[in-house]
Amino acid sequence: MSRRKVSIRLDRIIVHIVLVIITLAFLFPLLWMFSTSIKTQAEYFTYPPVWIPAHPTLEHYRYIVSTTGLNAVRNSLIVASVNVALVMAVSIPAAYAIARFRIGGHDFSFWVLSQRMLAPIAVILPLFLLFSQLKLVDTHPALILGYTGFNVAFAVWLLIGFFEEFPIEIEDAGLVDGCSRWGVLFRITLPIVTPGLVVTALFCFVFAWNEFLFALILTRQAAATIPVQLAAFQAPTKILWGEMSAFATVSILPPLIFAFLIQRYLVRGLAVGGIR
Amino acid sequence: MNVDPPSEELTVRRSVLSVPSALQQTGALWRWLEQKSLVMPVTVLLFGVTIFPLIYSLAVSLHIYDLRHEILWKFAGLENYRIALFEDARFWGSLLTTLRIGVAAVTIEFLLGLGIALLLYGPIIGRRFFTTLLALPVMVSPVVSALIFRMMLHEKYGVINGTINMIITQFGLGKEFAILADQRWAIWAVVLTDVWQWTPLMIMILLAGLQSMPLEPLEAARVDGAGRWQTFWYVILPMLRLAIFAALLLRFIDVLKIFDLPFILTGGGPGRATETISIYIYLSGFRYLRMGYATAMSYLLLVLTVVLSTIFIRNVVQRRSA
Repeated sequence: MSRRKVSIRLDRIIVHIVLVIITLAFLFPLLWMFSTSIKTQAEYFTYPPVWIPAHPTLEHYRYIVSTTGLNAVRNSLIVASVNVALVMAVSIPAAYAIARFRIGGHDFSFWVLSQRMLAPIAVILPLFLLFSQLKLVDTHPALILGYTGFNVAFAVWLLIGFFEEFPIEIEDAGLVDGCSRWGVLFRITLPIVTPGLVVTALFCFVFAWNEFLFALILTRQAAATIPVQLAAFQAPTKILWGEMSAFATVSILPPLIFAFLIQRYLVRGLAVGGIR
Repeated sequence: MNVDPPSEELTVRRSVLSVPSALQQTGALWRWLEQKSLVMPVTVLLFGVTIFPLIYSLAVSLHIYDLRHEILWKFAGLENYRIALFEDARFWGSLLTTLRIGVAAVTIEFLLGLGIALLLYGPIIGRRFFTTLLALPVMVSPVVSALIFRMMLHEKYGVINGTINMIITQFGLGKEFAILADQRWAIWAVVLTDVWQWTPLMIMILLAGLQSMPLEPLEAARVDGAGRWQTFWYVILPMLRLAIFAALLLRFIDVLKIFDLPFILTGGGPGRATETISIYIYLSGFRYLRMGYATAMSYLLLVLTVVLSTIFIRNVVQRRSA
């Protein structure tokens, strides 16, 4: 195939132009949100729409910081990072055991995977009843625990792939040296598959950071995460587009930065991430 | 790690290995325990956060569990299920709405995704740059995407709806319209937003499928003088079958559970035009406080997703990992 000869024929140029247009079309809503976040109210409540604000302003960002913004960011950070730590702690050994010994056969790994397919609404109804009785509603632990089901399924399946790529011979050498399985895992395997661990952790973080349904039901005000506070802007009585856009812009920064950091693994993570 | 183990230790291990019977069995037991200990935490955790709650929820679904009238645990047998299946038109309506959103969104996402994946498959300069930028919508919370489209589809000041209205009035094509407030059109606002957010996932899965294809058949097709269309139809498409099936089924299972996007975008309205099954279950449980009925409906939804997931696992995951 002519894949290696990068021909600069006309049709290749057209393909590139089409790709640029498509990419811009997909980025447009995000760019529009950012542009709205620095417009004054007069500029977004106008017709025809203003594309680029004449007098960019940061007032909406200031508003967010002075109201619910900081608390929501703090809650989201706590919930997402503790959840990731918990998820990784249980998923790493499980994924390792599946990759190395096919433990529990197909049934076990598929059972883990099937957790990802469950309808969230079906899980949250009983979780809410149980957490209310445990007085956990509107606390961090409720969300941290609530998100583990989905994230564990995702993490285990992504990690299995990374462990399977790891050469088994290196581990055998460790076993002969008298290491236990746990010892081999921690001292030999994990340091080498670190990139895979980081990618998995970041994807789990993004899921917890973005999740809405569980957060809506399990939090009130004290533990409300970013998506819950953002959703409050959709109340019909007030239309605070600038403030809403500013908050949304801040909230998508971590996921977007992660996307660029793990570019090489993005396709792989998303292909598994689709399994939910 | 010691590459050259002391010979003493090696002989000790050898001798242990050569002892049959009892000692070897303890070794096997120890290895068995060690392997089990690796999966113990995950099993316990998943039991706590999903299995036990789902059993609890099954129990609730067999009762009248009404928080508003404070009637809890009044046994009702299969009554909740009977009402949902045979008497509640709203249940079937919301299911139908969900399916309509699903079929429309997944079809459009697939066609767009396949087209863009094919564009990206050729010799593209900066392919990773394109794929990273195209993946960004997937990384955004559905709440954010719904809020952005709510803004852009605003009847008067929204950049999309406003522009359409401008064209309509300019060329005298009829009445101005407000997509989010229109019984017939609101569902397409949900589809549009879903397409924006999830087409990138289609692109990624199909591109991964394309890139893992062997090159020889393509080469052979070229040598045999097959045209582009023929190559696509007779060579690429058949080889991509599994990836296509996986992508379609995955997306469809996802859309069946869709909640946040229509909830924020339209709140299920106008009327019930965009009320999905998850939204109706949410309202039944948390607004009308009929938990027994809500859990029963959620179990019906579970059955649907479990059936589809089993098809997915049987046909895709098993074949792939075999």
